[in-house]
Amino acid sequence: MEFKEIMLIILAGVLFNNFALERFLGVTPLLGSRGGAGKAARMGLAVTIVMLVTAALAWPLQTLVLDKLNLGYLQLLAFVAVVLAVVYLAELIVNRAMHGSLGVYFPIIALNSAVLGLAVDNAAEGYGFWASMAAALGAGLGFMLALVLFSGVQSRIDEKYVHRAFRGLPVSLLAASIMSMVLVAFK
Amino acid sequence: MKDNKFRAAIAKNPVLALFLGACPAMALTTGLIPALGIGCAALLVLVLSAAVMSLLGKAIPEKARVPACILVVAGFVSIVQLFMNAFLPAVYGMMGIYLAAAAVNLLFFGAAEESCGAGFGAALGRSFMTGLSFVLALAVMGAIREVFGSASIAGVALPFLENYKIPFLTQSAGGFVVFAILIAVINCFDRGERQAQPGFAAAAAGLVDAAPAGEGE
Repeated sequence: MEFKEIMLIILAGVLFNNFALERFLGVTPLLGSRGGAGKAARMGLAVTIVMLVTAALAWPLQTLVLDKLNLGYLQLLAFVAVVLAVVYLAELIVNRAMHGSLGVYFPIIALNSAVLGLAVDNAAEGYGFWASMAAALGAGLGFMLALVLFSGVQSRIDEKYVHRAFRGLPVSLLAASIMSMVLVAFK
Repeated sequence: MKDNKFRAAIAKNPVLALFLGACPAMALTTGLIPALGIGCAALLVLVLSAAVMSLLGKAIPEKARVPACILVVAGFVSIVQLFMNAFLPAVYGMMGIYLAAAAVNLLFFGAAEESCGAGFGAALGRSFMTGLSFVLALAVMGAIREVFGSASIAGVALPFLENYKIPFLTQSAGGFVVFAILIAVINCFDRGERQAQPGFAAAAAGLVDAAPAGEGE
């Protein structure tokens, strides 16, 4: 795997192929999150780590088990089980090591379509091991970028008066739309 | 995972259902056909997983509910995926990875969890209504984006609109805008929404941002 190719996959994941803002994967936690940039960064970091571990496990599962035994139709269930296992293990480890300062996020990471979407996407693209790790890193960092930027936008919106019809979700969606347009410019 | 207030809110609050299903609602509404495809798939998954969870709900211990709900939903999504691949391959091709990603969708998960221990009929009815309003909203959004974005409807070209089409609407950013306007319109007509808005924020923060209240920065 060439270095240039790897960098390109990472950059694509962060910018113009951004999971939350361009492909709508994991957009619900993005729109629903409340709290400052620090909280957003921690959440983004947790998602990135879970994505890396999931991608590292999903690749051998796909190539060594599902493809060899012709069990392609079990792919979705297998990947969901992997994501659940990774999330619950991570929760255990974090609760031991950090006294739960990150643990509260884990149920939403298990229900984040970006993590599962990444595993399915890597299999569909036919990436090799290092390429799928690069895709995981790019997707995770891109999700973190979107979360941190959006938390700033959200805190500004919360200070302003918004018309009743647009209050809450619609105005956040409009802000996300502008951010999505910015990312298209990198194409 | 969360209190009952949230669960009861999904069925009553169409905006909340749309919010939880935001990923497929925006990704697959570039045309009427993929929108109807994912909508019907969602309706099927909702009803079937609600039926199973309402029957199994009491047998599953409290601690294992979250993974059990996720696996049941993922199983039904796989089944729908295989059926769609067999009988509607063209529509299946339009779904991309979004049908698979829907296995961990918060809307399905919420409806499945809501059905744990609920009566069979009540769970079926509630999830059917949730699914039906989801299909309707998606169909409206898909039609708007297809007619004004690519000057066609369900794949049939509308030549008189050809010069006035707005390709922006078929892009991701356009999806956000159309979704925002659709929800704003629902908010306008829904008189009870004055009450529901703070609840919506709390519920959304409750499930989506699972940090307990008062944690924060």
